[in-house]
Amino acid sequence: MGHLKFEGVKIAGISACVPAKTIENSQFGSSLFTEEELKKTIDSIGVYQRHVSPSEICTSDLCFEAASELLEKLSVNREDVNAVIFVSQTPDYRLPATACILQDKLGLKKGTLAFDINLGCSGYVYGLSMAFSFLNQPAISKVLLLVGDTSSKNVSPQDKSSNLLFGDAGSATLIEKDSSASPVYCSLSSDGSGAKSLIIEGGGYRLPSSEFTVKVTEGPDKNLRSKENIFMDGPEIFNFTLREIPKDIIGLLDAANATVEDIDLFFFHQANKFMVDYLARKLKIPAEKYPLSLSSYGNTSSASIPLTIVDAENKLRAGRTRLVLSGFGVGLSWGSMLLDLNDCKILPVITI
Amino acid sequence: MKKVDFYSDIKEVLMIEASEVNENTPVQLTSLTTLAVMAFIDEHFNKQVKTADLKNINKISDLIGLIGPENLQ
Repeated sequence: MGHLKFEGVKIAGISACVPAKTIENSQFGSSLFTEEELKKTIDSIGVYQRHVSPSEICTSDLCFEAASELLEKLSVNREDVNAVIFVSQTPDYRLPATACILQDKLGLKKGTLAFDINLGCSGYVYGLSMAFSFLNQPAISKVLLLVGDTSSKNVSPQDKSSNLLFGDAGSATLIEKDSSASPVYCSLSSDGSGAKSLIIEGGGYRLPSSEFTVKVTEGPDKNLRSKENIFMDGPEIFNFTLREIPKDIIGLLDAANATVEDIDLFFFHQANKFMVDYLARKLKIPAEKYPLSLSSYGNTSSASIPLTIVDAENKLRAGRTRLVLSGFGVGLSWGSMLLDLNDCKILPVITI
Repeated sequence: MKKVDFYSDIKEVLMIEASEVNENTPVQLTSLTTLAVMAFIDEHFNKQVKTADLKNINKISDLIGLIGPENLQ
């Protein structure tokens, strides 16, 4: 697909919320790893600590807290929010859409446009582009984008390929019209032939929940998991990332007539440190230009880009900061976006 | 790439402890070293290998076969 371009839109503020409960990976009591293996794995993926949700905290609760704080700090009248979009693969229910529940819970007016998007690692970029598209309509002046996941709940504790990686987080982003804003460039893509590289097969309608789907068995990679746990073929995802993401970002920069040097900060989906470092090296992006939040939060799926922006608030310039965002993974789906943050309110990470 | 540099780099990539690496040095890929090998081949030989290509790697000569011996001097 060609590139998308949006004009007259800006991000007014971003906030993020994580559960208070943390897991220190070095204390991960498991007979699966030798001490040396555990250390090497932690150093390679770059995840030292993760915030994980207890069973009673859902993604929507994290997004609710982030959104409440953001609306309050930006002094936004809730009557003025015209649309709420919830991007997640860990909704409250199979139906209805979590966005409808959040519309009511947040006190947004009845009649607010509300819907869910089922995407993970690429979800923030997709969600932003959807919000920007709506803002081209005269009837819409403010969009609330809520993006997050509680992926830790999907992981088998006996799965070495993912049990040290995932953390939970929710985010809220307020997007509005701004006639003086610089244009935003965006690229959105998919390749469903890789759908099985990152999948939870059971519990949907293709393979409904049953005794069979919750039974723990040994997978092709020798890890133990059920059909309702996440399966991730890390090397295959890495291969896809190497193949698609550098050229996607170079194409985006070309479309915007920009170079790596013109960009102040790159925010990558926080897949794992090894992967993000390699991607940056391939694109010749110096370390100070791509903040990481992995060490304290792990891979937070769809929330990883907004959470990393919030975590790196001190790296943003006082005025305009030119960013490239790039999300890639489950789907397979990927998206990248070039945009300026200008007087954007970034709130400190909230813990509940 | 010079063969001598390949041996020295691959020793580091695979975290091989043996002092000397040659074609017969055994290779046992873990999930971490698989990623490292993929990155190494991509960076130095501009070739994206698939997971399936790495399934039957048991020694260094198998890796050389994958890279293409003509790419090593």
